[in-house]
Amino acid sequence: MKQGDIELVDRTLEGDHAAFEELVLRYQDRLYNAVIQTVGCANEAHDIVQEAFFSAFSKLSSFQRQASFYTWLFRIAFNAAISQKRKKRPTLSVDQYREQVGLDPVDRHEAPDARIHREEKVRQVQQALESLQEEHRAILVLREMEGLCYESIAEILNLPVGTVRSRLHRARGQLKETLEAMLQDLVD
Amino acid sequence: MIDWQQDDWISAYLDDEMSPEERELAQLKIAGDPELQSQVEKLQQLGNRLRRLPTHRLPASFAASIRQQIQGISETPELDSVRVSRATPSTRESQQGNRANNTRDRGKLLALVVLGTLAASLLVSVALAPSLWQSENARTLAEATDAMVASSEADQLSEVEVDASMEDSPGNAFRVRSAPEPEAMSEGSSGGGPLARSGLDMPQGGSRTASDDGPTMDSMPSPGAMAGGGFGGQGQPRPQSLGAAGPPTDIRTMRAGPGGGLPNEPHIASPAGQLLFADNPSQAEWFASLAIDQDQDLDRFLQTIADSDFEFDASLVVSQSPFAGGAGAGEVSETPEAVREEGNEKVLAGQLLDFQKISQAELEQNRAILIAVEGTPLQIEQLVQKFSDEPRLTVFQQTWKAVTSATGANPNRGTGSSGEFRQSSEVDPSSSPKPSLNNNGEVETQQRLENQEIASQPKTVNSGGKEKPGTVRFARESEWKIRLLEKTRQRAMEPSLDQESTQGTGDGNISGQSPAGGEGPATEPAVALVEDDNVAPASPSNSKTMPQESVAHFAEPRMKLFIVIVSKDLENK
Repeated sequence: MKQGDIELVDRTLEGDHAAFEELVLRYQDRLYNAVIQTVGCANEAHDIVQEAFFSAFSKLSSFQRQASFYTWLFRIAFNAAISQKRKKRPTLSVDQYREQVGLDPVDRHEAPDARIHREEKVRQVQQALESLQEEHRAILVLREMEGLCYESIAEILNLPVGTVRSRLHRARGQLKETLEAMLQDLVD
Repeated sequence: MIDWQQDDWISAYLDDEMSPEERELAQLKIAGDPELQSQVEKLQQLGNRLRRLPTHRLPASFAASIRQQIQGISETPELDSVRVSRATPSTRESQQGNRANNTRDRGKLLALVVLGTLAASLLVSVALAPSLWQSENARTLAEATDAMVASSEADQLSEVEVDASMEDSPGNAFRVRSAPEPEAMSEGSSGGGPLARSGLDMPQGGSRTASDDGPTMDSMPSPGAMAGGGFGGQGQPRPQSLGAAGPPTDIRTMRAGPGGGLPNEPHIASPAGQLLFADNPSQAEWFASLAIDQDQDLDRFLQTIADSDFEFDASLVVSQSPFAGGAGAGEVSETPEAVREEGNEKVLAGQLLDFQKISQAELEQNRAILIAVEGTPLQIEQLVQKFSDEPRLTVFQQTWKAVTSATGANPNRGTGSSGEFRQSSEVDPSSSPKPSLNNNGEVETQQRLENQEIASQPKTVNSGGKEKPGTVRFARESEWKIRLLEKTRQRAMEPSLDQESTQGTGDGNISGQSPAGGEGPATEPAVALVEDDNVAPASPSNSKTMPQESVAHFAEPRMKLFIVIVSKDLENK
């Protein structure tokens, strides 16, 4: 039977490192995926996620259990991401990363031109997303990709719920405009 | 109540973040407005497109690696058992039930591990720099540092020759500390403790021994408790650096022996932060006396470090080497883990220095981290370059130049006495620069020339022009207060050079060395502390003499680098 996060947290606090590994395993991809979309760099995302887990372990006893473990973890990761912004290091864009690692799912039955078309659309969305301000990108990732409720987003980003709502709407509007502009460029 | 003027209600509608009543009202409004319907539809499509973005995965081994590193805390050999128990959440929890403290300690402990890694990397970089000298990277480094350390092409070539001989040496170990002399060990084990062995006097308050256990995290006063005293102010112990004890001895031997001789506290936490590699109790005490809190600014903290008469010694680095066990006593050697072969070149397998591994949270928790590094000018320059490339952290660095003996000896070759830097394998004496007299009757050697070059450098360290705007460079480049074991030096001098040295050469250098560096008639020690930017003559009139037994000596030009990493909140004060 799958153990709950809280139980794993308790076991970790009792010294069971395997329990923490289970927590890492449970959330590593989700966190990584969200962070990589937020910071737009695979290397940075990896470092941030790793750092987030270390920080989570060191702060575990301060976890209040009022929020979900994931929300709490995400908050740590986003704080780390903000710190990471100060860094300037050679970055590997998401596109480059995909090229190198080949993470895109490949539909073997897909026609070549259809695949190209799909990849182009993905590229456009990613480009548009990367063009947004970081605060807008983060809130979109949390809502659209992570499916978090406003309350959780507010907790992670340390914002009032009302601000989450208005910021999210602005972010959507900006993304829409950016994408429309990109499409217009293609038409022109 | 929905504010129809603010169209963010559309997002709330899409996200189902409305009450049932509000949702019903919104549906009615949308149904009656085609433009709104189109807008909602587009936003829904937008969300769908975002959700269809490809997902990314971490390798399956990621979780296991996290666990390994966490477990590494309790398996790190440098950490004593008490500290390990602190690292285990359950132990702490059950023992004290104090979650706040637990968190703090675990955070520090994690920081220790991370910073321990840093330390190891740092050590590797220092210890292996000679080996790397021959690699392409090292050549690049050499070019970058030409202006700093070389006054002529010949100087550079000579350096290369020296290191080439190291490369060819069996074992290729870079001996950092020689084994302790028996009398030093016995002296240290009886009351005098590690201070006696380290050649450093205790600060006021009596001697400390291994059983004193040094300042621990828990025993450290809180920042609030330290606020009244402050640092750099009254009541701060100012360790006197010279004592009547033997030369520094091998840290690991002392650790391994019964009673240790050194506090099992490799990292010292204080209200000011962490002092890495704090094997020396008086160093630890000094650092523990520092404090930074709301009333004290960073400048004062740094000034305190800069003004301190304290002398950090290289054992700070050496003693934490994870590679130390692979070589003989006092040696740090290349290991398969650290170095791999690529063609004819040896390259570091791991990263040299990765400040990114110091998380911001850990940094903020520690407020400041002080690292002391010692090495040749080239090695130091390499480190400075590395630090300068890390824009996330503000690194304050202060170099202390070595005013060393222009002995004419091979820079990497010691005279065989305890407490000096030397290479474990002997090198060809023919590669040593020969001392000669210049027009002023002063002794000229290659090392002397290098020292002059170093002394002529600006106050801040040349970091390759990569200093980021706004970074405060704390580089009061005063002379490193090296203590020369004059007795040994004078033993080694040839008669004609002996006279020169006693007259002073104007730069504090004492020249000449016998080929054997062996025994000879003892003379009074002459050179001691040199504190001015202009190198003081090595004459008794302007040098503080010291007991011969208390001094360490180094046979090569060396520099010392203090690196103070501060958290951003402190920086912004």
